[in-house]
Amino acid sequence: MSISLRFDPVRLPDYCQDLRQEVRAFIAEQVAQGVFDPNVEEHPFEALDGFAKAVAAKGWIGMAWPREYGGQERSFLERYVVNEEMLAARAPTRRYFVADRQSGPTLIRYASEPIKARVLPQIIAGNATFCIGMSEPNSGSDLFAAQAKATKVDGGWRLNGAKIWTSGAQFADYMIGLFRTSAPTKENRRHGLTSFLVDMRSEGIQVNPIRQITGMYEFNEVQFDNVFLPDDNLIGEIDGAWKQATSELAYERSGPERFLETFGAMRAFLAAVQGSDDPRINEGLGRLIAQLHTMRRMSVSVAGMLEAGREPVTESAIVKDLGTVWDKALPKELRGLISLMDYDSYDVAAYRERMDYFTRMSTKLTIQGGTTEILRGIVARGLGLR
Amino acid sequence: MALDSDDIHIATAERIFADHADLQAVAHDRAGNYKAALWQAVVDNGLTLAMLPEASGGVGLSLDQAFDLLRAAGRWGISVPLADTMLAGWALAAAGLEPREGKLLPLVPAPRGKLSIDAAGRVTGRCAEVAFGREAEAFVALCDGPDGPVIALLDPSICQIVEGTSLAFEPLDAVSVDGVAVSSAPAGGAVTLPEMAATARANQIAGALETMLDISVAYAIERKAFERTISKFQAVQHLLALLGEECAAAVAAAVSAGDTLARGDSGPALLLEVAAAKVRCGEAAEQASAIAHQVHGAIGFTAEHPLHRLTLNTLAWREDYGTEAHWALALGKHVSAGGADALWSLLSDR
Repeated sequence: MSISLRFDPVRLPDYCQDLRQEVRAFIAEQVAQGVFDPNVEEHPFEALDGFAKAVAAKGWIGMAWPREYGGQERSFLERYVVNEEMLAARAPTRRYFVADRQSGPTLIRYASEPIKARVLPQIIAGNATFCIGMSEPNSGSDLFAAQAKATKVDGGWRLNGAKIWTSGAQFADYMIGLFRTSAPTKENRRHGLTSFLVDMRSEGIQVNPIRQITGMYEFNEVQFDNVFLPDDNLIGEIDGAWKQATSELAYERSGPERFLETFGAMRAFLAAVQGSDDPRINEGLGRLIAQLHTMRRMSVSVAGMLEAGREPVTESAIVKDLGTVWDKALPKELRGLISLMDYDSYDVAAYRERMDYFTRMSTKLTIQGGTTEILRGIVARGLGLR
Repeated sequence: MALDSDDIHIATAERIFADHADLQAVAHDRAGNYKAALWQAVVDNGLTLAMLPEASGGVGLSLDQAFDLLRAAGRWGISVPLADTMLAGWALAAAGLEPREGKLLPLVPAPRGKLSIDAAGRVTGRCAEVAFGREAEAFVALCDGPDGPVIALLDPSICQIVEGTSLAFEPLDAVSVDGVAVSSAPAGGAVTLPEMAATARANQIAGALETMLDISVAYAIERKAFERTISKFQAVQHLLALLGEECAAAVAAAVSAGDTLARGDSGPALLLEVAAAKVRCGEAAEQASAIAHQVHGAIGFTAEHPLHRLTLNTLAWREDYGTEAHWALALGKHVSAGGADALWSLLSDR
């Protein structure tokens, strides 16, 4: 019939499942050595460096990138497997996660050769943390309203303005930021934005951490006061960053991080209810697993399309919308089920402490990286409604 | 949303459905007079044999193609026992019994029934809700036998049938059995008849949701209100986006379960895939039909408009061969017994 959305039943090939066993063994070894504790929800950033180096030594950062920059040219499906194993084990990947998922691929596609030659090997070695400078104090989802400016000067550019809600900026070595280089035109609101690689140690950058609902500091405000960037740090086309940003999003949107952020809550729940014969608990659990399995199958299907060189924009948005709405609701759903358990059969206080973390953090899941409303707009476009 | 538009068998089936079960024509045919010609065409073109191996008189379709065919039937809201006859024929073949022509219906007792067979081949028990039960020319029953599950071919003369009506105004009958089977054999490969049947219904639901999405989007683009087509309202766009997402999830879950059966997977993997398909398609049927009706407004509530056929069929199909709760409970029991690492292994192996 008329509407074409594809979710073929892609199965991961055997070589991926072999890699999975290797990743599991590696993670078990890291836990045994005390590098991280899978039952701790957030590790301090300083503690993540050793883990990043160990992952780098396995060749699992930038593993799908070209060999000339130090990558392994392994498949997108293999990266998918490493990623989901890390998520399911709650491994602390924050040191390299953003760079591995999206900043590196953006640099490979659009950055100057000297930047690629210098920065990509740093990422691959686990030595470069990236943040993403998109939202501003007066423009969140409406990126076209961005006002932070880049002005052309001799030998480079000067940055002025501010970014906000920038996750991990206080620990980041680099930012890929969106800056205004021209005014938007009447015909094209998207015109005039340019992408730059910013060294976060540059003079004139001030990072102000923002305390969050979780009690942690992940977000930041980043101020730019006449920060100088050399010409090489321009990424892609002047005034044409919008197209670059959207092509990046198919990779960003459909990954397993879109429904496994609260897998720690599921782990805590399963430990508490293990062996329960309460049909209400088991029925509720079964529904959640049915939903989780379906989303993972859809996500693997999108990974298969990306591997095949397609650009499944609508399908990616569908996976992210279904995934984040589910992920956000998981603590609430589990709360309804655990209430049926005898209070004597599990450690109520320890359970609550873990679950409260997820309830607090879950509120962001349908906002970060494209809100529910933005995603449904993309799906509506895919259906021919816009 | 066809994954399979390049498949000649599916294209042929869709042509038969279009000729004999046009959605609008069927909506106008309150007496259901279209059904006799549709069934004849379905039989004449071998569609009821789609799940049989070629050696047993099949038409050379793989099992996943057979499920694709059922999804196509779902797209047309087909309400003759095509899936059911396919399944019953498959069960006979999988148990090594002689094929039987005609309108066959499977009796899958769990969760709403129980059937036993003794050493002399006498079958007793009852199935509470059997779609199209009164139309059976023969039943193919999955029974508890003295040495394990048994497939038995039953003549309707040993059955007492109490007629009932489904949500979709189709026959939904209680079947009580007391008599000797025509033939029987250890179930063998047919032991997965419940999984096959649930996956069949999941694919029918998924297909119906594909059409629901198509006609709802088309209607929103054409229908004007407040001086604009309603497709221009963001509230309507977001509703339709959700309908698209539910439809996509249903198709993905149903196709994945069909693929699992075609690969011959068994055990917990099969339970996961089939339960997920039946649960997720049932949930999607509820959400999607509610949205489709909201978008259509009053016209969708009329018997003249074909939407109600899709709605009522998908909601009725939730009931057959295990509801969402039945399959969720089976899956949840398995998962809660094993813990988180076992769960993750199960999911990631797929």
